[in-house]
Amino acid sequence: MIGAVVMAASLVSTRFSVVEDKSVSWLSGPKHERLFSFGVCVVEPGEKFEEYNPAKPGYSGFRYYPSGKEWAKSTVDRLQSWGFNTIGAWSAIDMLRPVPAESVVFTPILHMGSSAGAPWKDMWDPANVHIMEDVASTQIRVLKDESRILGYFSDNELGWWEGAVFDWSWKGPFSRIRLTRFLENRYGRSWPRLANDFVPKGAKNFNGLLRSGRLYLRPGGRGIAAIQGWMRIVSDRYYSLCRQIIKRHDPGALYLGDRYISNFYPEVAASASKYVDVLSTNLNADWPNGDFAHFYLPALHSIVKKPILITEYYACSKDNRSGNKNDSSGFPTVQNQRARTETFLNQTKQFLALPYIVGAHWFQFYDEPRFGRGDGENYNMGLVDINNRPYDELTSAAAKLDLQKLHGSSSKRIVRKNHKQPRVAQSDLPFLEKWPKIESLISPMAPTMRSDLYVVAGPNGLYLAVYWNEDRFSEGLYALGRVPDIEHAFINIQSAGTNRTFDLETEAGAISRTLGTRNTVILKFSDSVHGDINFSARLTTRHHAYVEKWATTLKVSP
Amino acid sequence: MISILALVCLSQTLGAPKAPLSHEWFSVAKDGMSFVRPGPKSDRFWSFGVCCTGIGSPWETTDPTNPAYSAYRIFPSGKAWVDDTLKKFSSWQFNSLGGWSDIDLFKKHANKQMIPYFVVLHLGSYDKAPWHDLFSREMERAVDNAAKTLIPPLAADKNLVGYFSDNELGWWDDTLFLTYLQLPARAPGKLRMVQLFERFYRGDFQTFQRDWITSATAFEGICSVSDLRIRPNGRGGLFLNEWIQDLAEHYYSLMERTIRRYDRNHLILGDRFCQYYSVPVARAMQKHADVASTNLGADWNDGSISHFFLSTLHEATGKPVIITEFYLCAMENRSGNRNSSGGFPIVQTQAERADGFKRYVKSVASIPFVLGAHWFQFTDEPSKGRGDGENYNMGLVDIAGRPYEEITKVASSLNFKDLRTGALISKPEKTLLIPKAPIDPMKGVKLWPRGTSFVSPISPLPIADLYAVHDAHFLYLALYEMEYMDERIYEGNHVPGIERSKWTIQIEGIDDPIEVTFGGKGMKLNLKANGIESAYYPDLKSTVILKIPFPTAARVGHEFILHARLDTHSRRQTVLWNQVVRVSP
Repeated sequence: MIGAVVMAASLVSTRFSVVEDKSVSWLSGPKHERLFSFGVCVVEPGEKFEEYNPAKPGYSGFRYYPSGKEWAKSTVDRLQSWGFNTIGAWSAIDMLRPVPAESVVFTPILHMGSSAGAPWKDMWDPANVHIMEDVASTQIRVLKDESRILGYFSDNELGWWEGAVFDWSWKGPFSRIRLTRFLENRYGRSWPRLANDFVPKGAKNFNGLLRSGRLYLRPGGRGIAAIQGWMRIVSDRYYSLCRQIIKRHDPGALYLGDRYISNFYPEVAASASKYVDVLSTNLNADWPNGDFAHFYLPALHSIVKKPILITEYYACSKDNRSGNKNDSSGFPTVQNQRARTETFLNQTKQFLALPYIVGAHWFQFYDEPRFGRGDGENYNMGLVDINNRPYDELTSAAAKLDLQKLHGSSSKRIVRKNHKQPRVAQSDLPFLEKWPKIESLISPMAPTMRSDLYVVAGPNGLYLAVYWNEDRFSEGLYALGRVPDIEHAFINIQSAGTNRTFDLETEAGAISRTLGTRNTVILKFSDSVHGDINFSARLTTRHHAYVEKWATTLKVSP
Repeated sequence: MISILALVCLSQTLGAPKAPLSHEWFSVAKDGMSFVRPGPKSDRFWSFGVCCTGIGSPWETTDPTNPAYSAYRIFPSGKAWVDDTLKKFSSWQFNSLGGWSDIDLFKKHANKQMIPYFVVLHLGSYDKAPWHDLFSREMERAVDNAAKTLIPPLAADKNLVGYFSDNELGWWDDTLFLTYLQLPARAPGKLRMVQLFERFYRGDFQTFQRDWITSATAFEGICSVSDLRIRPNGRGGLFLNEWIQDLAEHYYSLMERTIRRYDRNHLILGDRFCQYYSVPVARAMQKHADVASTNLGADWNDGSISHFFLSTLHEATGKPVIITEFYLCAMENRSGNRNSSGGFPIVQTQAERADGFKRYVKSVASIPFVLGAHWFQFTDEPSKGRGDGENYNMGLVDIAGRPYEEITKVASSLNFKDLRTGALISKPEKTLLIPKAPIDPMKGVKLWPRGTSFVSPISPLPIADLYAVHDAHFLYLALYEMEYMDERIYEGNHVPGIERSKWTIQIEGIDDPIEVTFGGKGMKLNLKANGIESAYYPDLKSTVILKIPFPTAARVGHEFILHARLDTHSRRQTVLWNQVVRVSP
């Protein structure tokens, strides 16, 4: 059934397609042979006259142009002159479309899943499917005759959190039945086998579970593997629905995925790979200089084997003309506009240098309001400030990028073979952003899905930094409402005759620890300061969900 | 085969809407002379409002080649515009926001300065009422869907006076009848019509055939035909009156039921007639609305209006009346409006415009049962017209936001308290002293002294005014009457002579009655009398003027009886006059 959908869909000719030229992926369309989609999100006129509050200034097109028409014309002209070729998500397409600009493409976002509560609410419930269809078709209908639509995003930053999805799956009548049947099969209809991995509440057998009750992870069990299997089913349902609906209403458009929140689950991405034409992810740099964790994009690509579109990336500066404080959350923030431009260039060039990346969309067109958006976000994100003046350093740097050349010469990154572990001064040891990350990266035995491991030499020993992603809401997987100690993330290190396992979430010896969805733990694991040292590491992420392994010989020079 | 007799009578909700008793919401005063504000003080409120009080052409979609009022060009923010507009209103004495105003914007920024407002729901228009089958489930559903979205966000608002269910619905009786005739055999609206036929003719098809030409051979057969035409000299016109009243009653009851489903408290204010109504439709509202509403441009461009229009509306509906649009435009304006798309009173200068405005407001504010009047509109229309081409100097401000001071000064100077205190319905004089004719009385009645020359009708619900003036040798009579005819209700799409509107005049001292027939597209007025001249200005509101040689009985100082009768086409409405008159020296 699923195979048939993909087959049928692949026979439909699209306006745009993905092409490969000398192992480099590009988008191709009526006006483009080889397009690297260099885009900008939120190209729209900002605050409306009706709502404008001079005491809380923000970008507002009506203050700079006599009419929306003039704003649209000027904005498209400016974006093109700065080298951008794509109008990204949340843009005022209805205003921008009339501007004659044949080579500009649009990538609208439909929010079709989130409007129906996906991926949490029951996606087998026809009422929810109807909402998805309705939301998508209403928006697509208006744009049907627009030949410059590259494709559609079904959603943005969906909550693919295992803890939340598993919890909600018991609340939907259709998803409950599917989940119960799935578990019944997986455990060979044996309730006791299931009970090894799960703590049942309110149900004593599979039949009971069809009607009421739910399961919690049993600490020490392997229930997480079943939950991962369930995530595959839920996400398969989501992506297949989105593809069917989008292609039904605009067979010529590409399906561009759902813009991951700088984090992904391998199971979900694997489902996506069956249905999307291009996979998309928002990508907040992992460090303020614009560097990304090494594992993220290669891992994502190794799973989906489809081109990837970066749908949001960011850089902000403390010195800015909009009065943005940049303190509401965690976007990369540097001191001045020059450093911001470098961060922007660093990120953009990293994307261009990867052959499977087909585009990158800057977030966003204008700075956020001086005192923050409705949700408080208050960053210097703009190509222009809140008074419509461009940040010239950034825009002229963008204009100078030769996309064809830079992307045309890209190749899969070759991780360096370990030579010598670099040395880091004592004062910099607790700060991973100060470590030389290319030199200190340890190559994994197989591509890692969730983590990077770094090792450096400090003045009195060897230090490692684990940088890895975790789930949100994972406490909800346990009956206690918190993650039991034995389900924590652990790392086992065998080096120079020592064999130690550290609880990454509580290890007292850690010199630095940041926990959340992005986690960093830095700790000393060896007193050696020079020589060739055998080293192997085994990371078990929370709930034993993923295991990642490294083995190498560390070379430490005195 | 459908057995018509077996059809279950479609139920109607008959309970009259109860004006809310509590003091929490706007209500109508017991004497029917004003609204009452919510609150313990029961303040009276006569609504002097402005329609379309809004920010004009929005920045996002404005067309730079068609200059229009756009608040964003003039004010730094929506709030600044709201503040300024409320200040202007307060100094100009406007106390409420009429239809299609930017209510959300006012609510967002006005805070405690918010003034009462009115909302047009357009409920029926969502399924093209009354043209689509009003009795259908689809209609009910469409109306409910619209109400469900529109009303709940307003239901708790104490500044809301009430709802207009629609605006200027197409209550064009004859044309509507033809449209419902075309409905499919099983359509509820068609079944209802056939049922009414059967009831009207007491099940006797032969009687029916005396009034109607059709290929149908029995009542059931009417379901599947649409070829009914009025047979000359029958009672078909009277049936039409019943049918349209039934249809309209269904509409008003549907509106009442639907609005009350989501809001039990706010007033139901009718559907804003488009300067025209037929008496049966107005009657149909009686049990289902709190107030009747009508858009009403001045009948003459000096700002004056006919005598019959408002009083008959009041009488037929049994409700106080609110005027929901009135207009006056000047050729000399600052917005480049050419005032050419049709249908609104036009004068030359802003001074004349202000004069007309004053006359209009003073006259309607002096009518006891009128609860308010809403000027249409806040701003001039765009220089090159709106999307539909309407291009009038309607504004209190021009497209650059500059007030027309002539008109706003007049508004500021009106003494509503005195006007309302002195509001009285004048009783007809026993003897009417016919005033002197103006120059060129045959050219139209605008310059006639329409106050003193007005002859009061003796029949209820008149839909015409009669005026009488004289000069040395002639008596001039003018009829100003309102009716709508679609000639396709007659065979051959042509109104037979006997079915045309007929005005008969008998004057003491003149032996033969004077008989005038008129109406019908492109048809001339037909006058059966010698030595009498006529002038005929056909329109939705037509004027007929007769120039009659003085009868001997009518010498100066002598009283004589003037008797007149108007029968509109197919004798749908009748108006009678019987007045003792005397010619002024």
